[in-house]
Amino acid sequence: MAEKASPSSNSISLKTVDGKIFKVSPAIANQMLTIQPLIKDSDSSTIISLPDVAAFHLTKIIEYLEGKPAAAPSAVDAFEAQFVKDLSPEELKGLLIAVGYLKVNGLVDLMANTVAKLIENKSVEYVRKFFGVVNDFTPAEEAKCRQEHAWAFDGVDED
Amino acid sequence: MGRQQARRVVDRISSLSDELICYILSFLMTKDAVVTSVLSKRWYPLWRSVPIINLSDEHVTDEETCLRFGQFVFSVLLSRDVMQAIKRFRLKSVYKGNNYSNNQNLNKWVSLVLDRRVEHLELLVHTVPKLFPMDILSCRTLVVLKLSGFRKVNENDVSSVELPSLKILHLGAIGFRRDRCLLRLLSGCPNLEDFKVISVVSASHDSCEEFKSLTKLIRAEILCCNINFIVEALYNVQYLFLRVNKEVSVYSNHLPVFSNLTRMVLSFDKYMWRWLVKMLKHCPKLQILEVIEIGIGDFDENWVCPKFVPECVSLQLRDCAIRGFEGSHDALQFARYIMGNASALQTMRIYSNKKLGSNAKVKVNEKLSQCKKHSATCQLYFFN
Repeated sequence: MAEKASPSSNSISLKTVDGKIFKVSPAIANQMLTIQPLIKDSDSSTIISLPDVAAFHLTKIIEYLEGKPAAAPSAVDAFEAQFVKDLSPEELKGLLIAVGYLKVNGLVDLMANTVAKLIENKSVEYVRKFFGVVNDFTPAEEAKCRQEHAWAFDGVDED
Repeated sequence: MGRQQARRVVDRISSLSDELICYILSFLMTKDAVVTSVLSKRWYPLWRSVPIINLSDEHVTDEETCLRFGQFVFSVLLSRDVMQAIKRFRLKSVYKGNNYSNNQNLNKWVSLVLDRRVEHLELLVHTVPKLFPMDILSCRTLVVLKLSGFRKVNENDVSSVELPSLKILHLGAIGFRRDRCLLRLLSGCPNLEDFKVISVVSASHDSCEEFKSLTKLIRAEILCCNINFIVEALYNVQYLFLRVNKEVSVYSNHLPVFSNLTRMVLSFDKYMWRWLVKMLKHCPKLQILEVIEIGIGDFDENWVCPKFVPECVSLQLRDCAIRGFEGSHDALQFARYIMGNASALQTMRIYSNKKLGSNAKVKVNEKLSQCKKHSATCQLYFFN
C-alpha cells in the first residue's frame, strides 16, 4: 500500500455512476453515512464508487453540505428553502434516491418532506404521474380500494 | 408510450425503494398517505408500514362526515399489522357539533395505539367530561405526551400513573377536579425534561403534600395555570417561561430556589415589578432575563428600587430585555435598577410598545440613556 498522503491533500475521491470523480474533504464525506466505514481505511489514492449517484446529484449534495449554515434554525430554513426551490420534480426524485442511498445527514428529511408537500392534496392521477406509477388495478379493484377507507377520498381532486 | 420512455418509468419505480416511499408518506397526514393505496398494487400496502399516524377532523362540518371520520380512524388502526409499531400517533378530534360517538370511541382508539409500542402520543380533543383515557398514563414506552381538551379530570383518572420513559409532557386546556390530580400525574413522570402547560385549571384548591420528584426537568413553560404548587415542582429547570397574572399570589408562597435556572422569560401585567424582584431572589444563577409587559392594569405600583440587590442581578445577569415597554414609571425604574446594579450586564434591550407615540418614544429613550450603568461594557438598545 502506498504511503499515507500528507494532511493537506487528505481528500476523498468519489466516483459517480456517470464516471465523474469528485474530491471532497473528510468532513463532508463523513456526513454521508453509507460511505463512512470506507473513509477510515482510505487514502488519497482510493476512489470510492457510488453506483446509485449521478454527478448532478453529487454536486447538489456537496453544495448542500458545504453551504448549510451552522447557526440559527431560521438561517437553515432559509437556506433549505432556497436549495429546493430551483429543483424540478424529476430532479427532486433523483436527488431523494441519491441521498437515500448515501444517507446524507439532514438532506433525506428535507427531500422527503419536499416531495411530500408536492403530492399533498393532489389527485390520484397527478400522484401516479409524479411517481411514474402504472395503474395495474382493474376499475373494480380500484373502486374496492377506495371503499376500504372512504373518508380519505373526501375532498381529493377528481382526475 | 415510447420504449425509451417506458423504460425510464420502470427504472424510476424500481429505484425509489419501499423504504423511501414510506419515508415520504410519513411526512403526510394519514388521510393523504391512505390515498396512495389506489395508485397501484405495489403501493397498495405501503402506507400501512408508516410508523406515524396523523389524523384530523379539522375539515369536518357536519355530523354525517363526523361519523365517517370515526369509521376512518377505525379502518386505519385495524388495517395495520398488529406487530407493526406505531411510533407517533396524533389525533385531532375537535368537531364542535354532536361528536358523541367519536367521544365514546376515543378510549378504544387509544387502546389500539397503546398496544403498538407508541413513543409519541398527541391528543387534541373536544370531549364531554369524564372521558379521560387513563390507560395512557401507564404506557411505559411513551417519551412524548401532549394532551389537550380534557375536562373534569378527577383523582380516579390519575390514580395510577407510571410513565418511566416520558421526557416531554405538554398539557393544554385541561380541567382538573383538584390541584392534587396534576400532582399525581407528575409524580409518575420521574424522568420528565420538558413540561409545558397552557390554560390548565383546577376547580378546587387543596394543600398538597411536599413535592420533589421532577429532578430531571430542564425546560418549563407555564402559561395560565391556577394550580399553586406548580412552580414548586419546577425547581430544577434551566429555562423557565412563566405567564403570571393577578393570581400571582398563588405562586408567591411556593417559590423554591431555582438553583439551575439560567434563562427566564416572564410575561406579566404591569404592576408586578415588586413580585419580579422577589422572584429574582430565588434565581441565583440567572444570566438571561426577558420581561414581557402585557399592560392590562392601568396603574403603576409606584415601585421604588429596593436597596437589596439579588445575587443574580449583581453577579450573573448578562442579557436583559423588556418587551411591550410603555415607559411607565415602574418599568423605567426597573430598567434603571438592573443597569445600575448588574456588574456583568452586556446588553439591555428595550422593545417599545407599538401603541407608544413617536414623541413619547424619544422621551423614553432619552430617560433610558441617562441611566447609570454599573457594567462598563453594557450596551443599551432601544427598539421602536
